[in-house]
Amino acid sequence: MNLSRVTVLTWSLLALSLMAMAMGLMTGSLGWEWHTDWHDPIVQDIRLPRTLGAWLAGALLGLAGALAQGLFRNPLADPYLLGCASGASLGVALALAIGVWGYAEVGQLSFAMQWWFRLGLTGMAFIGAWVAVLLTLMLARGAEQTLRLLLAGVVVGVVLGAVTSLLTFAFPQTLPAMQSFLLGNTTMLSGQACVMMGAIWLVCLALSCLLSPLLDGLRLGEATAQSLGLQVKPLRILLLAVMGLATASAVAQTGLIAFVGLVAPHLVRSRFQGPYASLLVLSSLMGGVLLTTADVLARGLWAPQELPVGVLTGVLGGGYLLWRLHSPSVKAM
Amino acid sequence: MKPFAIQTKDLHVSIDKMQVLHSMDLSIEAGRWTCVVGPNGAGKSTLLKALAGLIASTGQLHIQGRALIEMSDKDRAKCMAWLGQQESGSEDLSVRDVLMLGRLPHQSLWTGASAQDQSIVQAWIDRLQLAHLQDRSLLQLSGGERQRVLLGRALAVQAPILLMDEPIANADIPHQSDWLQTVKQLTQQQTTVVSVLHDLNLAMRADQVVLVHQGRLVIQASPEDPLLHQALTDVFERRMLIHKVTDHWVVLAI
Amino acid sequence: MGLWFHAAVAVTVTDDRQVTVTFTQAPKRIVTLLPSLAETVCVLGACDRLVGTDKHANWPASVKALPKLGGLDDTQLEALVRLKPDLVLLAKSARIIQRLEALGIAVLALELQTHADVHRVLQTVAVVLQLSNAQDQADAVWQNIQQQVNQAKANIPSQAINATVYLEASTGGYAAGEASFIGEILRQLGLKNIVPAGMGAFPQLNPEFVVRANPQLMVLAQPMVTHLSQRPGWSGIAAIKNKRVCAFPSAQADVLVRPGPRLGEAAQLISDCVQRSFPS
Repeated sequence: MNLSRVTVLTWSLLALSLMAMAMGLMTGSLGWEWHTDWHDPIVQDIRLPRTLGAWLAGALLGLAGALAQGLFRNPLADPYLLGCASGASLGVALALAIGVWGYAEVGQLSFAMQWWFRLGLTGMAFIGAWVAVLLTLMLARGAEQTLRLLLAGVVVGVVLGAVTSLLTFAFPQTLPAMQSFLLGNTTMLSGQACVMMGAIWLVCLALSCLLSPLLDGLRLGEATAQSLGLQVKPLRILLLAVMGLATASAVAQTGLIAFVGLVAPHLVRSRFQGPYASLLVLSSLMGGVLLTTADVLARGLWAPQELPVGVLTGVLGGGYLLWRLHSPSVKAM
Repeated sequence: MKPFAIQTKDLHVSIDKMQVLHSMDLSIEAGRWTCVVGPNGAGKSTLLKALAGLIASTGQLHIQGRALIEMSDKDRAKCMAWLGQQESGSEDLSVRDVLMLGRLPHQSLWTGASAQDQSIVQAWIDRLQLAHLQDRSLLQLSGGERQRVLLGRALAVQAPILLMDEPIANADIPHQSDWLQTVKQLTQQQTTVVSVLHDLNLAMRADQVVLVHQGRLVIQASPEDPLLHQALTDVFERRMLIHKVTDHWVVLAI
Repeated sequence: MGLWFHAAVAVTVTDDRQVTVTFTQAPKRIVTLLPSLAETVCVLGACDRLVGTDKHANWPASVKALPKLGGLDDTQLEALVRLKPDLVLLAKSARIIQRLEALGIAVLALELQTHADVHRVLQTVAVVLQLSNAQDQADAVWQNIQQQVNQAKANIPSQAINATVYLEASTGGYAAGEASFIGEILRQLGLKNIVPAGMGAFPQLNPEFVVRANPQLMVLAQPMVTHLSQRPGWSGIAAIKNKRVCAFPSAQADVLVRPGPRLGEAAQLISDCVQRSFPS
């Protein structure tokens, strides 16, 4: 029975999450430490929020990826399709550029720019991601036609990307920070960030599970979904908003992490088919496991130096997709 | 006289600013099987979608006496089940899950599938001989089997009106026969069936035939009616013969 | 400065690509594509011979008025050629070298990565400029720089000697290690860098490492690094608790990050800050 399968998978993913997080707590600037002092402020103040934050960001991305693949009915969809990624990058580039300009011209930040300080890179990334999603929706004139939505996302991505490049060209001091954001890292995750991501994750998970019948109905086609009484248009926009919220929150905190949103639902679907609500939860848990594992490797492989976690997710995720392409499995993607 | 399940008056449908259906006045009786026929591009699928409320139309449209525009989406979904031509969707659903989707109109966002939903789905799986396939995904089925599964989904809604667009295009003779049986049972249980069929031989087995040509209603009549035969021959450019063979009307292309 | 009548002297110079270039005359129209090379030319007293610089050059003030020609990677070739330079000074990594040489322009690629490099480049440039007593002039400038460094070192209060220091070189959390240019300055000032030479010049560190090392002093070579105390776990670091963080506005930060002849100034900047942080 499918229900027991879901339960088994859920518990396994939770167990894997705990194991990955435990490893995260034991990995630090000295590499692997089997005998970690749990009362060490380093462990509590730095490793705990980082590890938890990595899991939460992965969970948000996994959820967003499952939503994207259901909404666009395309197994290659990922949460960055609506221009979220470029919007967040632009937000960060803008924040950094304003900082450089502010310091260069004025010597110290004027009162007017204090707002920038408070908002910080995280706030600007979040706002940028949202503006991009709104632009995409406006350009596509609503969420009615999938193809138009995808094209609008591409256009917005390209244009915002060009503006970002222009900014980094004009202010080259921002380049190292931009690169850090573009490759993703969990370096500066704080307890506050975890609380925020956790709250958003719970809200997004609840909302998307509630609205998941739309995704189930869409699997038979839009007209059929409508004939089953689902209000396709408004529900789709709501789910897109949830997807945007989840992606923006993750990206704002950890930068652009590749492949987690794409690969997590795939991994889940290779083991389980069923109603979308279960798929959403499992993809989210899988995303958490994936990112936590990648983060542990990023911190541990070359301690005390850190690899950008996005590089590892790219290698692992890309490798997995390559394997899927070549495996003789009957199940299509 | 039987009440009308669906009644339209002066129904117009435009798609992309082009008029596709003009001024249709239809009265579809409840508990009967009505078949919509016509040449390719006549507007049959559009008509069915309009009746199902899936595309916008102007004019009057009443379902079981109520105006369609006054019905909520859920009410409409519980009242009319629609089976369209093969839409692209994900193929990795299991057969059982597909039929379960048919129960969506009866579920609210808060509750999931109930035990009753499960038993109804199980009953249809058995009736449509899908038991040996129920855990396979759609991908692994043949065209005919897939159609039976999708039909099962529409039947699982258990709506008093069933609208089907080319439901047996890929079915072999035994399954066509099964389908006819199912329709007969449905009408006996007072379900209204409206189907679009391109196979005129099967269409002539219906209680009523609706002939559509170039977006207009040509005639709605019983298969016995000679006016219908005349209209059919005219519309199809006299390239057919209609004969009665042991109680059944047979249409032959010439 | 008027016209100087030199006897025609042929000077042969080998640059850091091991390419030999011969100058029959002293170059009078010089273009530099690296700010530190412009600074080198000016520090040797030949600032008036500069006709164009890269977009980042901003010292001394007179240099700001010169035409800006982009950077090492995106040099504006046309504008450069239009200035009719007889010498272009740049780094080995400049992409424009081949084009310039194909156009017949004299190019010298000079690497400025270490303190020793600064001395060597001063000598090379002095020779190319055909200054009278080139070697001596270069050495004099170098001695001056050394004096500045020694003065800066002498000003370090006794309790700050051998203090552990963490230097953040750019946004994105890149630390400056012992192997970097500014790391050398710190060493000469008698401060201990928490980032050993083995980790490379600008490693990107796990913040835990800094917490564990617990530096007594922090130097921010980038004006944009802010809110250090808000970084998780950092509020307990000695430098932050005791408010021994040296931050510099943009113009001064430039001096700290550029390997070049102003390293004496950089040493003084750091020394001044150390004095402020460790009041006796």
